[in-house]
Amino acid sequence: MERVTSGDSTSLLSKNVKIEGDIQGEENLHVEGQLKGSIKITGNVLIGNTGVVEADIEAKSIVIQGNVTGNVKVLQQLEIQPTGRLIGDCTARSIDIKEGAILEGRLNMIRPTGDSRVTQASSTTPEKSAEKDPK
Amino acid sequence: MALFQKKQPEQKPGQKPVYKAEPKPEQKSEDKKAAPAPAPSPQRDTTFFTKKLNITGNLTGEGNLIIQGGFDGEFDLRGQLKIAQGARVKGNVKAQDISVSGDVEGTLTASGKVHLDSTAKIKGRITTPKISVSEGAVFDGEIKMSRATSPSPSASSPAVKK
Repeated sequence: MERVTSGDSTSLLSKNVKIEGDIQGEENLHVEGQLKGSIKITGNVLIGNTGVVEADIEAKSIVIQGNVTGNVKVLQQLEIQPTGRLIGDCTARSIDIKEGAILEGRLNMIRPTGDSRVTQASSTTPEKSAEKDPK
Repeated sequence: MALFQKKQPEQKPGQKPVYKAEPKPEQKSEDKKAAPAPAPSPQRDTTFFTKKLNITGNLTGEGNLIIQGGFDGEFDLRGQLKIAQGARVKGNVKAQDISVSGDVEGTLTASGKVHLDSTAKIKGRITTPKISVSEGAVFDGEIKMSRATSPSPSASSPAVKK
C-alpha cells in the first residue's frame, strides 16, 4: 500500500465520491471511491479496499485491494491482494496474486524480449487464474 | 547524472510490500504557494487530484475535494471544493463551498459560499448566497445571489485581508 501512496504526488479519489468519465494523467492514483469509465496513467494505481472500478485501466503498475471490472494493462506489475477482485483481461510484465484474490479473465504476459515491446498474447485460459483461488 | 538512481529505491521490482503502520506524510507539497489562505483541508475525506491529472466526466459525492489539474464535466459535491492555482475546470460545478484560485469556465453553484482568490480566473455564472472576491481575481460573467437555506458552519473561512 505504501508503495503507491509514498510517491510525492498521488491523486486520491475518496470513499464517498463517484466519477463517471475518463481519467488521464502522469502521476499516481489511489481510488477508494467509485469510478466508471477509463483510467490511463503513467504512474501507479492503487484500488483500495473500498474502491469499486468499472473501467479499463492502463498504468505502470497496479495494486488491487478492491473491486475492478474491466481490462487492465500494466507495463510492470499487477498485484491482486487477498481482498481484491478483478474481472477482466490483464496484460502485465509480472503478476502477483495473493491467496484469496479473485481473478476472472485472461492473462497476457509482456515478454522481456530483446526488441522493445512485443505484447504477444500468451495462451492462457481463465482456468489458469482459478488455480490461484483459495483451496 | 547518476547511472541508475532514477528509480525510487523503495520501488524495487519484486520487493515484498512491507506493512508498516506508520503513516507517511504524502501530500506535503500540496500548497506551496498555491494557497496563501489557509487551505481548508481536513485530510480524512479529501479527494485530491494532482496537477498532471485530467478528468473528463461527471463527479458526484460527498467530502472535500482539491483539484489542481484539469477537469471537464460536472461536479456535484456535498462538501468543500477547492480549485487550486493552475487548475482548469470547465463545466458545471455544484458544491457547498467553493474556493477558486484557478481557471473556471462554466457555472458555479454553491449552497454555502464562494471565494474567488486573487489568482482566480472565471468565465461564466456564479450562484451563491455568500461571496468574497480577492483583489486581482478576474471574473467575466454574472453573479446571482441565492437565499441561504441554512447558516453554513463556516469552520475556517478564508478571511480576505486586503
